[in-house]
Amino acid sequence: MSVTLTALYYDGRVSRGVPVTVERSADRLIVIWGENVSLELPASAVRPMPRVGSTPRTLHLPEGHLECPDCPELRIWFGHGSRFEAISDWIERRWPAVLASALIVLAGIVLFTQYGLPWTAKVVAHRVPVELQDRLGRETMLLLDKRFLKATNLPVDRQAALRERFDRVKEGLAQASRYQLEFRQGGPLGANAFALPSGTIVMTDELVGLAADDDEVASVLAHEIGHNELRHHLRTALQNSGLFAVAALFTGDVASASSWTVALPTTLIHSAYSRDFEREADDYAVDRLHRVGLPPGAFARMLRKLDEAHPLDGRMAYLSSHPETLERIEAAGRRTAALARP
Amino acid sequence: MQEPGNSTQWTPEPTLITEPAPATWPPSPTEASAEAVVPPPPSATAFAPSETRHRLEFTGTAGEYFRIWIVNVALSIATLGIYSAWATVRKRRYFYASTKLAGSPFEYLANPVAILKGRLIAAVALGILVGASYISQILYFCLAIGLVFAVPWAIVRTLKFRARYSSWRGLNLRFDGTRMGAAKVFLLWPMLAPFTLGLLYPWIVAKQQEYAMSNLHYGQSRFSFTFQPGRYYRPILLAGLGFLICYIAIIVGVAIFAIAGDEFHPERSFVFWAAMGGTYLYATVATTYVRARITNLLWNHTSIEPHRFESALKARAMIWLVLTNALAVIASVGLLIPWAAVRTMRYRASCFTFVAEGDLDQFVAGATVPESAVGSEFGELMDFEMEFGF
Repeated sequence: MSVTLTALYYDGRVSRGVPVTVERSADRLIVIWGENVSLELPASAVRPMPRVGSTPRTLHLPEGHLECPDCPELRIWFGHGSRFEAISDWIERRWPAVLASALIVLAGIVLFTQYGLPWTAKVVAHRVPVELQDRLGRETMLLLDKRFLKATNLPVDRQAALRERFDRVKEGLAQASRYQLEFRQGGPLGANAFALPSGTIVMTDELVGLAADDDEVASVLAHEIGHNELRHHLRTALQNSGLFAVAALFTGDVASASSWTVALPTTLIHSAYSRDFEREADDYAVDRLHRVGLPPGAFARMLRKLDEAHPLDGRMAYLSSHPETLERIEAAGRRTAALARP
Repeated sequence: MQEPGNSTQWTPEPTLITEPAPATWPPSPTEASAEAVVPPPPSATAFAPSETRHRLEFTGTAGEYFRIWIVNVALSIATLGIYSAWATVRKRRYFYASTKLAGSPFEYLANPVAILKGRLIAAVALGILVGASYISQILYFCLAIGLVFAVPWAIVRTLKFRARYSSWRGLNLRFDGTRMGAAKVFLLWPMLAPFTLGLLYPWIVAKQQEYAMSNLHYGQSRFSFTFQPGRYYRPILLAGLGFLICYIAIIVGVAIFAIAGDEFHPERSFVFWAAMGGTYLYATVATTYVRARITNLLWNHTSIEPHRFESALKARAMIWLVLTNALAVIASVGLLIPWAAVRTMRYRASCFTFVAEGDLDQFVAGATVPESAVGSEFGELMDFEMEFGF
């Protein structure tokens, strides 16, 4: 019982298709026959394009190609065209397999962004030589000095006292010599402190003014040193790149990955990462104070003062780069109490 | 009637009669897509020859494409991106083959392995660039400048690759634009645009379209583009004006904010996010509007003798499509991306018409040369996308 297929034959020389019949002869030769077309070739000379959905199948011949609807004979006579794509096609045709893929994708992305990516970024960041991080900070400092910060108004002896506290906080750290303290007037930045990847820590006069004693100032310095010791800048950069790569794989191309529908969820995730890093730095601050013999409770006290001076709008919590201050105060309090237990 | 079973009566080599038969065979179902214009009586000599309007048919469905898309994503993630080359090829083959012109589907012929090679090279080059930024500022600067000059090369490669592996009825497209031409149109003129306060920009867009279309061939026939830059001014300047207003509003807003408040935590401010959201919304609407207009301009000025193209995208419909797609994608955690893609393609195809003069069997093949994907993946990485509407 020989099967006859109908197809359109295009010779690749003119844009005209000719209806033909395609049959397999007794000795496995493929015979193509139509108006002014008569071909006979071995099946191996026919190259099928892999199947995609229910689109018309095309079979490429040494000269020209055939176009026909899909049917089982095509696989029997000519194979899949690509082993690789045959597997994809197999999965695509079975709804259970498709649903399983969907679940794997969703679970995979959630696990990756929650655990896989942060863990990988942490491991890689700690392997990168510290010196390479220096470059990230240099331009930022210049920009800050140009735009926002003015020279400090703190008296010189006050600065000296604070520097002494600073040296105490960074005592014993392998990279202690990289950490430099800079004093500035905050201006629009208010009571603030930040760490640059190069190891420079900037503290504003307003923050010093808020603190009741030098221990509280030291606690903030410990938090900032924590950002550097834990390589947060590099980890942020790595995690953001990782998110972008996943977005590109998900949407299918790089252009869509930068569209704003993708920007929305990625911004939420960026903020979540940032809050995690702040919590890590908070824990580090409490531990560090305890380690160098300063009162760890100073950090919770400082946070409370910051909160009273500048209460922040709670509505935008999900987009914030810092956790809720009350949450931070409580966490710091708990950790301090745990350290106090013998 | 010869009996195919008796192979002893035939020569083993494939035989082919090379003279094309007279064009008596009509293309397969065009009744649905073509509205034939009744030809004028023989006495009317200087009048409209028989025109057939062929609307593009898109037969893809969201359900079918979802299956292809989700498996693409799953396998791309599972193979850490290696499968992405196959994913891209399957997606393009699905969309091409689901699109029919005069009853015949398009075909995408690229080899996934070539695309993978192009991507790996682009990834390595990007890695070197990023690494250089850590090692030496001068090196990074030099590489960045070099990258700018690579833009025309990448654009030419992208256009060449896409054209070479796109075919219809057995004949493929071919792009033979020069790098000099690309450099003028994508580097030189855009660099001069700021000096004209942006007024040169619509002219540049027209020039870019001219470059893309007039160097394109189908078989031995060449596409031609009617260059009329004046038409590009209204949509682009209108959208640009809107952007200017937004920009001023933001600056004023930030100034007020900075003076009033003493606290610099913008990300906590509801007003800040509302302003950002508003800007994004406007940007999306304006960009979609401009895209719809310039896509129409592109096709309405393109022809391939003696046939021509028409595009009638409505900006309002496109904007509605884009906004509802965005909402659907966000609400469905991305799972409605394939639905959005199919819906958009269906609308675009419905607005695209190929106006044929006579039959479409007369195109003849030109010479073909395989194209490497190196450089075209660079073009894709750099977000280069010629707005063909597809």
